[in-house]
Order: sequence, then structure tokens, then C-alpha cells
Amino acid sequence: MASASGDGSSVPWVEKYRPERIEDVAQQDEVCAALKNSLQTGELPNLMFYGPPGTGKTTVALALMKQFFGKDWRARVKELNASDDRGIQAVRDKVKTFAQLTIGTSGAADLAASKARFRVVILDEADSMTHDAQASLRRIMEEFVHVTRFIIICNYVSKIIEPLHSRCSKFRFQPVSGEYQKHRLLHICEQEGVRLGAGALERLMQLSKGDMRAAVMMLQTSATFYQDVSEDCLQEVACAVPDRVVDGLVSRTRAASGTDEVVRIVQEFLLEGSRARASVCWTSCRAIRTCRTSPRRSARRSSRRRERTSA
Amino acid sequence: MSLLWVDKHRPKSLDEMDYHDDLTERLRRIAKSGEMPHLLIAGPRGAGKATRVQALLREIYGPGAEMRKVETRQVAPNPNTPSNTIDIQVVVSNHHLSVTPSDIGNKDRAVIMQLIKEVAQHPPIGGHTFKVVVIEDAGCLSIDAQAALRRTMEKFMKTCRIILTCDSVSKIIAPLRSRCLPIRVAAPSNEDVQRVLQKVAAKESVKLAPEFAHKIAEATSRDMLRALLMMESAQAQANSNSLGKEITCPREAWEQAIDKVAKKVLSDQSPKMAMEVRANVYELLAACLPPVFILKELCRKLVAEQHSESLKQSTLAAAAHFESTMNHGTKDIFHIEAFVLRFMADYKASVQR
Repeated sequence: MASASGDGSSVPWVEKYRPERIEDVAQQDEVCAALKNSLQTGELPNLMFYGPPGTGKTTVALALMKQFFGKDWRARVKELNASDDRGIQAVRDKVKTFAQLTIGTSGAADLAASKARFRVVILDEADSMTHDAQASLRRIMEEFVHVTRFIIICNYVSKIIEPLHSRCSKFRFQPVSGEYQKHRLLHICEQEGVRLGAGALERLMQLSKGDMRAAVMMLQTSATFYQDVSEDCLQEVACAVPDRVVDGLVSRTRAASGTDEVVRIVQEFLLEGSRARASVCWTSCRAIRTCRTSPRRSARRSSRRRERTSA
Repeated sequence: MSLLWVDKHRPKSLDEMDYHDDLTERLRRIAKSGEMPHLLIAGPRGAGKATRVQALLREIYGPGAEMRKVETRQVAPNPNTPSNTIDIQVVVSNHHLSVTPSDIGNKDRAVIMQLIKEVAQHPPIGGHTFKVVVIEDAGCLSIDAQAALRRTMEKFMKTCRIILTCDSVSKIIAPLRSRCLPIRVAAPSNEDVQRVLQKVAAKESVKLAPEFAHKIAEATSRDMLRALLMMESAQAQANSNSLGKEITCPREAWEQAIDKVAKKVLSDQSPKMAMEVRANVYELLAACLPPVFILKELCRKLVAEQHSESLKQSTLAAAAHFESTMNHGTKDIFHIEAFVLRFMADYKASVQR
């Protein structure tokens, strides 16, 4: 990678091109409008961001902090995620002590100038916290509301206990649309001097399914390690099973004379080391789509495949 | 000291690799670039994943990576109770550390974190910019541990790269997958296996009939590791340096044991026999055969004995069902037994008809 190695190729593009301001996180209009408002007033409710991965939840949270507190934002913000210890004990010790501290008037100029007179605790990947730990947050959130706000970030809103829901304003993040994704990816390609192969962009969008981070990661790995971004490389990078392999599997199974042969074909397929579970769903989709006999038969086929799949 | 052939003739560097040339080329490029991403190496058993990892390390670090030793590390999973420690075995060199999480059990999250932190604390030596942590059989990591790896991978990216190996990418959570460069190691083709067998046989000055080589490749379903072991045990049994085509493949002990179970199930379908089978299955489990493997092999054996298509299909469907329930549950014996009973019922019904 010629251009990337110049300024430290170890910086992942995901970090390098993470939007710095909430205005730049396009796509999530509703969220941005609400938050811009609170930037002006310097008031912030407790927030809960939820939505599929790679839609900008953490990005928005971090961008918001930067805009609130300026460049010394880390002094006011505590970020905890799944790799930190977040059992009930950790919540009591770490979060509580942090939340209790009052806001001094001294410190960095940026901080003192900031309208926001509070600290923020960001709980990233909060759906992996235990229920006990979540429950112990309830009281903390209320008690220290005059100095501390919480931002809870999760994929599955149902894994967060009810009492926390009612204490936060909730924002749902939509999968990133094709239009915006295209725009952003092309921007990155231009900056990094990557040349896209034919159909690669469409493939990238199809494989990432609205997950911006996955798309950028795929782009980078493909560009760095295959020296070329083409459909085939992207497929390898995404651990996807190429269409022609799935097609081959379906047509061979259809032509098979009996169960034994089907088992053999599937076994051979698995020895290629493809992703078994994903193949099952792709294969059954394809089989049902092209099936001339009853759908039940293809369903039975996919269950046979599942037998060979170590789930 | 005499080594097993598998270890004695294991390729040590990327140049000695026998198959998957394009993959070797790609690994070489990664090593040369000096910038390795986290890797996720996936492929079926005996395809040569571990061998390639070793060769890659050698390519990056030179012969220093081969000065390996096995160490027992004491790790305290809970920092509040430092006296409560777990002993785990790791393989270390100056440049890397390799660990198998299935040894650790349910505290794997804390243990893996600690190990990675320890490795990352000491700066890499000899002008290299990073060290490597190899996690073998990463599919065994609990979801919790995998989730915890996400951030750790990013945090220690500067000094520490992680190589995960697993037999199916499906067992790795999506956020980890997207942080790694996936490398697929397919099983060697039938011809590859035979070629390697011939090569090793020549080195050991054993005459290997092509028919027998073919037979081994078929019997081991293209598993390089098993194929080499099988050839060696065949040679030991025949006790001569020429393996002709008339020799049969030696059968492994587990295969005979599972065969016995299958025969019992087919001979009589009654509660009494079910109890007998239970005892046998317990023996298999006690011998540390993976439960999923027992189920698969048993299913394969039973299906092979059938003539009716519908029975074959219902057996496979039952195996699929009970494999998935086994993954959700904790007591493996229940699910294997349930499968046996379901098969007995189906079989009896089809025979009576």
C-alpha cells in the first residue's frame, strides 16, 4: 500500500476516517438534529444508542464528546466497553467513584470554556453487561444526575433492562444507506489511492449490508494484502462463499441420485473450508428461489447440510 | 529420540510447503511487508493450519521463532483474589506465545486478556515492531471472551498481533471476523495427500504402493495429519519397509468403538439395548472424544448401513437436530442418547413396514 505506509499504515482506515463532528455523520438525521440542539444549549439527557453494528453509534458518541469538551475531552469522559471488567463490583467501584467527582473550574482552557457542566460515562457494548451490573446503574444514574450523564450504546435494546430504558432518551441508528456508503467509500479510495475493480463497489455494499465499519475494513484488507480490490478478493476477505460455488453445490445436489451422493458432495464442499453456516443460508435461499419442486424438499436438503455443519 | 513422522517431516518454512502455492505466496507477502494484520486462519482438521502459522512466524522472525519451549503460567483470573490462580500451559518463544483456550475452561475471558497484556507489556526484541499471540482452536472461546477480544485487539495493535485458528469461521463472532484478515486453508486434495505420503515414504525409505496411498487418502477424508499417522502405524504393523496394495488401512481405536455401538443399535432396538449403548457412549466420552464427533461418526455409520432413502434422510435430519440441541445444552450424553433412541424408533418402524 503505497500511500498508506507513508503516514503510519498501522492506523486502520476505520479510525483514520472516523467522522470527527456529528454533522459529518450523515444518514442519522434524526439523531444529529436532536444532538445539535443539545450542543447549543449545553444540556444533555442520558442517552441510549442502539442499532446494528457499523452504523455510527460509537462515532456519534465520541464526536459529541469532542464537540462538547474540546481537545481535552478525555478528562471528562470515561469510556468502558466489553473488554473492561464491568461486573457489578466494577460498576460500584469505578463508575461510582468517577460519577461522584464534582466538576472543578480549573483545568484546561477548553474544558473551562465548555458550556457543559457535567461528566460523561460511555458504556459501549452495554448488552454484554450482566443484569446485576445494569441494575446497580439505576441508582447511580439518578443520584449523580447533576454531575454525570450516561451514554449507553448497544446492539440489542432488548438486552438492556427496562428501568434503564425509562431513564434515557433512546435513539435508533439505521443501517447506512447505499448512497452514502458509496460516497464515503469513494472518498476513502481517492484519499488512499486505491483503484477499484469492476463491480467491486457494488459487491462491497452487498457484502457489508449497511455496516460501514465492515465495508471499510474489507476495503483496507483487500487493498493491502491482495494489492487489488476486485470481486474475488473481497469475497475471500469477507469469508463469503462465491456464487459459483453455491450454484455448483445446488446443481450437483439436484442431479444427485440418492442421499449418499448428497452427503458425499456436501462433505467435499466442507473440506474446502468455507463458512458452513453462512453457506447453509445462501444455499437454501438459492435452492428455494430456483426450485421447481416443492419448497419442502429444499428445506430438507438444507437440514441435511446442517448436519454436517458444526454450529 | 525418534519423532513421529508427522513431526519429523513437518515443513518448517514457507519454502517447504507442499500444496496451496498461492496461499504460501500470500503469506510470504504478508511476512515481507513487515505489517501483519490480525489473522483468522480457518480450515478443516489436518489441513495444515498450525504448520502454516509456524512457518509464517519463522518467515517473519527467522530461526528465533523456532526456539520454543512449553511453559506453565499461573494466571489469576480475578485481580481481587490474586491467590486464586489457574495453571495453563503455553508455548512461548522470544517472539510469540501460543495458547489453546479449551484448556482453560470458563474463565477464558480473564485468562486470555491477562496473557495478551503480559505479552504486550514487554517490547518486541530484535528490531521487530510486534509480537504475536496465537490462539489455537479459537472456536472454543466463549462468546464473552470473544467479545472482550474486540477492543483488546485494537488497543494492543501496535505491539501485538493475534492469530486465531479455528475449524469453522462460523464459530467466531462477526465483530472479530471483521477485525482480522481471514485466510482459508482448504483440505489438501486427494492427489496432494498421496504426493506428500510418497514423499515422506521416500524419506523414510519405505516403498509405498500408489494404490495403498490412495486408500489412505480416501479413508482419512483428506486429513493430512491422520493420513501420515495412519501410514506410520501401517508400517509399524506390517513391520516391513514395503507397503503393498493388499494391506488394509489400520483402524483407529475410536473407529472400532463407534462401530461396535452402531452394530448394537442395529441388532436390537429395545430399552435394554439402549442402556448398554449408554454405557458404551460414556466410555467414548471418557476417552475424550468430542461429543459432536461421536454423533457425526455414529450417524455416518448408521446411514451407511441403510437401504431405504427415507430412513437415511430422517436419520440425517435427526442428527442435525440433536447436534444443534447439543450446542445449546450442556449435558452431551442426553443428546447422543436421544439421537440413538430416535434412530431405533425410526428403524423399527421401517423394518416392520
